Amino acid sequence: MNEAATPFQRFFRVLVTVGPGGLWLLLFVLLPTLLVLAASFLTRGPYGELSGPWGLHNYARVLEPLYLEAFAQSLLVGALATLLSALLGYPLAFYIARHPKRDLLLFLLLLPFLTNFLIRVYAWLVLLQREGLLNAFLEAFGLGPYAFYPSFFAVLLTTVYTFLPFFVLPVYASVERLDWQLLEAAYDLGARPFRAFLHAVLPQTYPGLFAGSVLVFIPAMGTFVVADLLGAGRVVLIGNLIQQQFGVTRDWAFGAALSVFLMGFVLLSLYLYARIQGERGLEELV
Amino acid sequence: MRRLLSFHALLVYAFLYLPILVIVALSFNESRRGVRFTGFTLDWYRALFQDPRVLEYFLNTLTVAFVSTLVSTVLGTLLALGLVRYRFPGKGFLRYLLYIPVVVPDVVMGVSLLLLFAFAREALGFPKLSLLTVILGHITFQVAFVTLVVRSRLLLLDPALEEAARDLGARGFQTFWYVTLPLAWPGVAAGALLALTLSLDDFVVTFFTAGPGATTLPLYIYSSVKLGVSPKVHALSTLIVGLSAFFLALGYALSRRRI
Amino acid sequence: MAADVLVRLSGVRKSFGGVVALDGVDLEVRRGEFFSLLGPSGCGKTTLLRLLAGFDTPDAGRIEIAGRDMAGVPPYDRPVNTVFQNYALFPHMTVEANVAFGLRMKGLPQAEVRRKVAWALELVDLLGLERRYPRELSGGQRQRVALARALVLEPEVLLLDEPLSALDLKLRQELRVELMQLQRRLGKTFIFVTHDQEEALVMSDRIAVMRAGRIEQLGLPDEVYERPKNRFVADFLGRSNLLPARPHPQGAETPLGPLRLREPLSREALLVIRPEKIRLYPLGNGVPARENLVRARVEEIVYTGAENQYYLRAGEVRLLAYTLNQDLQEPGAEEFAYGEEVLCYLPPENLVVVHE
Repeated sequence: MNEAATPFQRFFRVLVTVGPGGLWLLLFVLLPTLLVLAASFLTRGPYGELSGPWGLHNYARVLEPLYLEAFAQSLLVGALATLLSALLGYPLAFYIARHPKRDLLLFLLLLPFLTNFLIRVYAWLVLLQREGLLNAFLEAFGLGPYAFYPSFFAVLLTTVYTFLPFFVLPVYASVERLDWQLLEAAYDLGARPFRAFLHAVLPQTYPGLFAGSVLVFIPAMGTFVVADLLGAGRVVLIGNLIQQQFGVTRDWAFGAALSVFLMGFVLLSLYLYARIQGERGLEELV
Repeated sequence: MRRLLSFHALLVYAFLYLPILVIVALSFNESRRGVRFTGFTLDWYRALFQDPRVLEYFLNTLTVAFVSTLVSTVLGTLLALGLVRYRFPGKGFLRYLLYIPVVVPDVVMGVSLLLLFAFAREALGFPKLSLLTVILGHITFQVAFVTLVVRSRLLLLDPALEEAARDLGARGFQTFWYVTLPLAWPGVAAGALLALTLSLDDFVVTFFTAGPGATTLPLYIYSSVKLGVSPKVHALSTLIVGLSAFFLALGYALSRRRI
Repeated sequence: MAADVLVRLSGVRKSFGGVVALDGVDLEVRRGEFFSLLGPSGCGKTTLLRLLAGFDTPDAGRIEIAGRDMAGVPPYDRPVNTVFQNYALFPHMTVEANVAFGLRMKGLPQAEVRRKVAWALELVDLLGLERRYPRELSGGQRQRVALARALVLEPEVLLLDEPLSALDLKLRQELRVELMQLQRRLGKTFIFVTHDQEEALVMSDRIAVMRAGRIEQLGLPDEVYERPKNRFVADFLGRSNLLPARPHPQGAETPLGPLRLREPLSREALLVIRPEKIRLYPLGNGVPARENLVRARVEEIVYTGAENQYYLRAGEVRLLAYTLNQDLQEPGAEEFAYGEEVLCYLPPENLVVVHE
C-alpha cells in the first residue's frame, strides 16, 4: 500500500502476507523445477539415481525415434481428444446455455467430473474389457466380441471422457456472452441459417473454443494414468515414459529430461495462446 | 435443430453417466466377473467393511485432505492479500511461479517433488517418503489454486472499505480481521473447498510422493485395478461416488438458497 | 495575531507514474474553519485529501496537523477522520456497528461506546436505524451514517471527499445546510472537497481553487468570486464575461470600445464582468448619459425561474447578462424580447482586471 507507514511497518506487512506462501512456492515449486532441470543433464547412476557426468546425452536420447514416437502419440492423443471433445462439447455448450434450467444442467455436467478421477477411468476399463458391457451389448446382436481394451481407442475414449467438461465450460462461458443480434443481422442481410451461424455466431465463440482446446490438449497430452490403465503397455505416451523412468526403468536423469521436454512443450503452447488471446486471456484461462 | 441439440445433449449426458452407473450396478452383482447380472448381493460391501486396510486408507485420505487444505488455505489467503495490496520486488516473478502448479501436467509436478525429497534426503537426511511428503505435495498445488481464487475475490473488494477502517483507527491485523476477511470470506471458502476437492481426488502427485504406509484411496483403487478388477473396488467406488454426489448436491442446493 | 493554524502543508508534491497530481502546494487551514478545496476533476484536490488522511505519502514537502509532522504516521494514528465519496460503509455491519467501529478499535468500554454512538446518530438525525444494514438505507441516510461514523471519534479535522456528489439536487441542497449547521455547532475544522462551485461558495469560510495540482487562488468566498485572480478562477466560479483589453487613457480599450475602470490599465489584461452585474436598459429616452454603455441585440433568452438570462451580441462580442424576475410593475424591472436592441451598462467598479 502507498499508505503512510514506517519502512519497517511496510516490510513487516509484506513479510507476514507474502512471506509464508512465497517461501513455500520457492521451496516446493521453484527449487524442484530447478532440480529437474539440473537432473536432466546428469546421468544414470548405479541404482538409477543421479550421478555425473553432466552432458546433453539425455536430450539426444529424447530425440531418438523410439521416444519421438511416444511424443508423437501423445500429440495425437491430445489432438484427437481435443477434436472429439469439440464435436461432443460444442453443441452441448449451446444446448445448456439456452436452456432455462442451465444451472441444474451445469451441475449435472460437473457432477461425474467431481467424483473421483480414478473411478471414472477404471469404469471404462470395466465397460470395454472382453467381458465388458460394450461387448455384451454387441453380442446381443451377434457381433464381436472385440478387443476394445487395451487399445489406443480405449485410451482415446477415456481421455475424452475425462476432459470433456474442461472443454464445455469455457465454450459455455463464451456462448453465454454471445450477442445474438449479430445472427439476426446476418439473417436480415440475407444469409441462410448455416452461413449465418458460421459468420455471426462461431467467430464469437473462438475465445471459448481456444480456451477449451488448450484446457483439453495439455492435460490429455501429459496424462499417464489413462494410458496406463487402458493401454496396458500397448499405448505408451510421454507421461507413461516419464513415470517409467522413475519406477521400473529407474533412469531419473532421462526422466528429468523427458519432463523438461514435456514442460517446454506445454509452456510453448501457453505462450502461443497468450500471444493470440493476450495476457488477459491467459489469466482467465487459469 | 432444437430437437437435434436436445438429442445430442441427451446422448452426451448418457455417455457421462453410463460408466458410473455400471459400476454402481456391478457393486451389487453376485458374480465376480462379467457383466451379466447374476444376483443381488451385499457381499462385496461386507468384504469392504471387513477389510481393515480400507479404513486405514480412508483415514489417510481424509487426514491428508484436511491438513493440506487447512495449511494451503491459510498460506494462499495471506499470499493473495499480499499480492493484491502491496508492491514489492519480485512480485511479477512470484505471480508466474504461482501459475506453474496450475498449468504443469501432474506427472511433471510429481516428478519434481520426488526429486526434491530425494535431494533433501541427501542433503539433510530427511524426509523419507510418507504421509507427510504427500501432504507437502498436496499443499503445493493447493496453494496456487487458493491464492488465485482468493485473489480474484479480493480484487472485487472496494479498497475504500479498508481505507475507511484504517482511517477509523484499525491497525493492520484489526483491519484484516474485522473488514477484509469477512468480506473476502466467500472467496476463501470457495478456495478451501476447491483445495479439498483437489486433494481428495488427487492421484498422480500422491503416487510420486507416497511412501509405504501412506496409501490413500485413489492409490488403493489404482493398484487394485492393476491386479484385476474386483467388485470390492466397485463397492468402494460406489460409496465414494455416493458420498461425493451427496455433498455436491448439498452444496448446490445451499448455494441456490443463498441467492 | 496569527489565527490558530491546525493544518499546514508546505511544498507538497505528488506524482503517480509520470503524472503530476500535486505540484508544490502550500496551504494553511485554521481551527474551526469550513475550508473547501474546489476544482475540476484531476486538479489534485482528492489527492491532497488522501495525503492528509494518510492513505498516500507525498513525494516531497511537509504535512503538519496540530503541530505534528505526519511523515510516516499511519491513518489510524492521525487526528483526522474521513467521510468517503461513496461512503465506504461496511456492508456486513449494521449502522450501529459501523458507527461504533472506531470506538471499538480504541477499546472503549461497551457502555461508553453505546452512549457515543447514540450521540452521533442523534447529531445526524438517524436515531432508530441502528439495526439496519447499509444496503437497506437510502443515499442520504448512508451519507449521514458515514458522517456519524467519522464524527463520533471527535477528530481535530474532518475530511470530506465530495460527500454530496452522489445525491440528487434537492437532497444535496438540504444536506448542504445541515452540514454547515453541524460544523458550526461542533466547532470542528472541516476540509471539504468538491467540484461544485455553488456548494463551495455556500458552505465555506475559505475556498482554495485548484487546477492541475496547484492552488490558483485562496480566499473568502466573495473574494474569490468578485475578485478572481485569473481567467480560470473567473470561469470556474459562476459565469463570466471576458473582454480582452489594452491600456487606454480613460481606462481600457476593448472590442466594445473604450471602457472606464476604477484604475486605468497599465498593461494588457482581461476584464471580467459577471452577468448579474450588467444592467440592461431599453433604447430610447430616459437613459442618463453615462460611460460604459454598450448597444447590443438580444439573441437568446433563457428562463431559469428566478432569473432571466440574456444572451446578447454587440458586434463581434457576445455578452451574458442576468436580470431578476421581478414583478413588472416595479420601477426598473424590464423584460426584453428576441431581437430587441438594448443598452448594457457595465459599471466600472464591477469590471475586474485579470491576468491569464
